[in-house]
Amino acid sequence: MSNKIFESKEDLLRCPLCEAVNYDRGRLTKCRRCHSSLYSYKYFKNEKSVAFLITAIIAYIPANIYPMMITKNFGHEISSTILGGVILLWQQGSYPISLIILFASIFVPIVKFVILLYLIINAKYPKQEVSNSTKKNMYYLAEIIGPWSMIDVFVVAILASLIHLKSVEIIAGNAATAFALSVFFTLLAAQSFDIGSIEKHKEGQGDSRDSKTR
Amino acid sequence: MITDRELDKLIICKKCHKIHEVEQLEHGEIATCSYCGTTLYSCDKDSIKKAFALSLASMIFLILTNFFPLVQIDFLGSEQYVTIFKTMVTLSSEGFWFVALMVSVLIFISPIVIVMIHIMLFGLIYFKREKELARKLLIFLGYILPWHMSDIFLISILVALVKLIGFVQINIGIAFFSLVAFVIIDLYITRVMPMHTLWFNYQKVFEDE
Repeated sequence: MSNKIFESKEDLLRCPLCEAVNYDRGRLTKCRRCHSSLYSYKYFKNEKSVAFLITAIIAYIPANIYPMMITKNFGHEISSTILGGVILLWQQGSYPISLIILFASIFVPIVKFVILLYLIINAKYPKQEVSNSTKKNMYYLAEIIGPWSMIDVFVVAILASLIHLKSVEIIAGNAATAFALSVFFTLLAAQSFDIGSIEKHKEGQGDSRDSKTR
Repeated sequence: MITDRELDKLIICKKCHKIHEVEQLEHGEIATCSYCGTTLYSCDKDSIKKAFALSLASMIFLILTNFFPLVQIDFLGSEQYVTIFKTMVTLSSEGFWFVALMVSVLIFISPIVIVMIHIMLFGLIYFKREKELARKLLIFLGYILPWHMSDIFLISILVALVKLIGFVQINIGIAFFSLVAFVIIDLYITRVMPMHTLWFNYQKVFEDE
């Protein structure tokens, strides 16, 4: 059954925590049901989200430079980075797995960085090239695919604790910490992004909001 | 101005953020967003009972998952096994304490906490007791829900196993199967009982006397 769309003149917000519908009272909006604060866009224009995103991008650099996994095979050490691991798997012929790793640890984080950066910049300097509903779909996509980048960290964790034999040993590399940090901060960045800032930059709205807030 | 009561009758689609009016559904019906087609909410008269029973079942599977080996390998006569707890211990003993902390939160602590909250919450709503506690549990559940990644861990185990095929002999343990069962039940519970349905049930039981 399809539902009726409700037309409202007021600004209504969705609480990200309990999904209640709230009035938008500007900066100080608290959710009427769970009392968590609904960060609103007038004064904080996604600063938190920007800070988390920058941290995540910085952490993503060492995650790609340092080895993710070190294999000790009869005293012979092979260390592989994320990309190196993907290429190695591709050469060995396990195409699906190498595609999964490629998707989860390279494609997902980069897509997420690009989407969030675009949305944040667009909220600050609005241009109406892309429709608001597309932008909301982009944000939804970033939120949905975000956690899947943890696959590589979990795989390394499992292999490192499983392969601890006398002759063969797998040890996690420094990139594991960097990558985990990067994922952690992208999750935080996506969570603290204010979805309301996507559509609330029509012309002339700023002034009326100001008077409503004070 | 719209009153809070009327606001409670509204729902915002999680995907396209269009506002919809909540309508009374018949048993078994599902309401979808008329703009993007996402499922908004559904109606099931016994949903609380079902969710209560299923969360008890998922607790049993979760206990099995945490105490038994997930996978056992056999390489040239030497055997090794892995449990969820062992992954965290190995990581932290090798100095990757942040990764260990994160892994333990994502696949050990938050599933346990979520299952406990689910059991308590469905119990409280079913027996109509302890309004304040139920409210606090609901708020806490909202905070912890994004940090739950058992399903992703399950896929990672499969990926890790495919990497090992050909090098070692693999025996899949009890915990793996119970993890599969846990993930399926958990997906079902979050599907029939998303956050707003939980809050609707809470309000129906405690506020509309």
